[in-house]
Amino acid sequence: MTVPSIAPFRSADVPALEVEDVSLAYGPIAAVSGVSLSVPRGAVVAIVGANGAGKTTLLKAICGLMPVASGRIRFEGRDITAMPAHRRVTAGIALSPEGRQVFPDQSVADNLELGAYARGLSAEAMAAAMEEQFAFFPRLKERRNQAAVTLSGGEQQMLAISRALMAGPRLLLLDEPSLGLAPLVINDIFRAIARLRDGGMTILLVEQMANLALAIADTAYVLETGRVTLSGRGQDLLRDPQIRSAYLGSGH
Amino acid sequence: MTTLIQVLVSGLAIGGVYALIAMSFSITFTTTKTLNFAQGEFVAVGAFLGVTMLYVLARMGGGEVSFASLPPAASAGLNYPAAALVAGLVLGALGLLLFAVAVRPFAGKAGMNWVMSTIGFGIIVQSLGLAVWGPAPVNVPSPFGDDVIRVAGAGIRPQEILILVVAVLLMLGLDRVMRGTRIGKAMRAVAANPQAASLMGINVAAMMLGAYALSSLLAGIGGLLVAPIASASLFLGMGIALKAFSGAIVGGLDNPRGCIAGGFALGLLESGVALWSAEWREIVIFLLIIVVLAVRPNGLFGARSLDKV
Repeated sequence: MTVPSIAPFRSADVPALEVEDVSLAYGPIAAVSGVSLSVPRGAVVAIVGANGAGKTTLLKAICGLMPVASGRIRFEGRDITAMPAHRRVTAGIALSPEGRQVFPDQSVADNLELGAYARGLSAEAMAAAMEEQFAFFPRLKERRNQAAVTLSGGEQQMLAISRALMAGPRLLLLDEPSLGLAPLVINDIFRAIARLRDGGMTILLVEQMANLALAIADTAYVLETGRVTLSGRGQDLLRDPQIRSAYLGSGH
Repeated sequence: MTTLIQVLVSGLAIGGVYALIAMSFSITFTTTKTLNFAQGEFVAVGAFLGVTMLYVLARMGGGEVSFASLPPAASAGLNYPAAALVAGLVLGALGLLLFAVAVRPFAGKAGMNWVMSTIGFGIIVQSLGLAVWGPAPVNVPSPFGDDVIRVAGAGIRPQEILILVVAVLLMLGLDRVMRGTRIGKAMRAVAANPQAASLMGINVAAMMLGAYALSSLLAGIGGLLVAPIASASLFLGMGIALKAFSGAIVGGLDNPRGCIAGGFALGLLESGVALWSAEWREIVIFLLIIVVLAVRPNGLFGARSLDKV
């Protein structure tokens, strides 16, 4: 896995992503209230929290699927708050969405090709980008001509991550990559995320499985009913007794 | 044998038109979850735009010609394909306008305002057409002449063969585009999951606009195709669109190939029953549609439930 193209140099201290005081609502119901967070370049940042804490909603706002009620979102220093979703992909943000959302009736190869839709690659460049993903997840190569609907949950998750990587992102958003997967498969997926991190990819990871997310993250934010209640280094939060009791209980 | 050939050929010809229009319904339904209820008017206006083009070309070629009864030469050579091209392109542009004013404001929202707004758009278009062309039917010559060809005793009109060939070529071509090209795969992605499609960098709004343009283009070409074998008035499209819609529902509105099969099935059925009794034709057809839907609510090849509209 080669490191994707590096962003045009602006300033070393400009984070990849800055979320400033963002609030989001579904009609009259507030989902996220005044959340601020920062994702430094090359870092893995995790957002943990219970189901319904607003994690997915926040990611939707970052990739443009949901308008913010207030606040700003900056990508590499540039204000993208009003940018439509499809243009954020071209700008360098890609999401592997919750529930995978692969295109069920299209083949694995076609799903990957769609991931690179906005890049307008030549046939050779497309093939090379696809081979890179096949090297990353060899299972996808075996299944390349199968319709995505026929894949197992773990394979679909691999496809969703690879499809996002096909866009050549400089910021990868991962929404609940462990959702609905068997423990062994979850380990595979998190090993892949670690490889991406080691390759220098900037990652914002949303995950209910707090122990896994905190272990892999440089920094993490705890989201509770739409607010950031705690943030810090992943390793520190992992040892925090409050976190342990709330999120790393018997269920994990 | 003779009657069988007769039934097959005329059934496949009119079925080809139904299949083409059924597919045009499917194109907008899968991508936008809306339908153009002005499609019948679009078919008729497409026919009249084509006839107008033939008339203009005939006038340019010299000589007095009557709009209501064009001479066979008016459709000869490249005139007919040129007229089809114009009808298709103008209708495609009309589809863009329809989407912008009558669908986009309501698409994806609760309620079915788009049903009324597309019907209204169709009535406006038809009324404008009546003001320009009048209500009387016109006689449209087929590019391959209107003499009946005898095949094993059955009488076949050249236009019937032309309809079948053009419809099949258009549908095969579209099928290839949808499955084999970048834009086709993107369109199918929008149909499957618009949010996920926008995460691929696909401009979903532009795709929806394109779907309406394509759907309307097919209506325009379908209109000019059917005009030589129908009584071509501005009311020609209503029945065709209704049968095509029935074919789409029977085949499964969310499955383009199912829609094509449904369109052909309806054409064959119609021509078969008409042989036995013309009065019973519509009764038998719509009874069968009701029975099919009672047994398979999503159509024969459909997957998604229609009440998700």
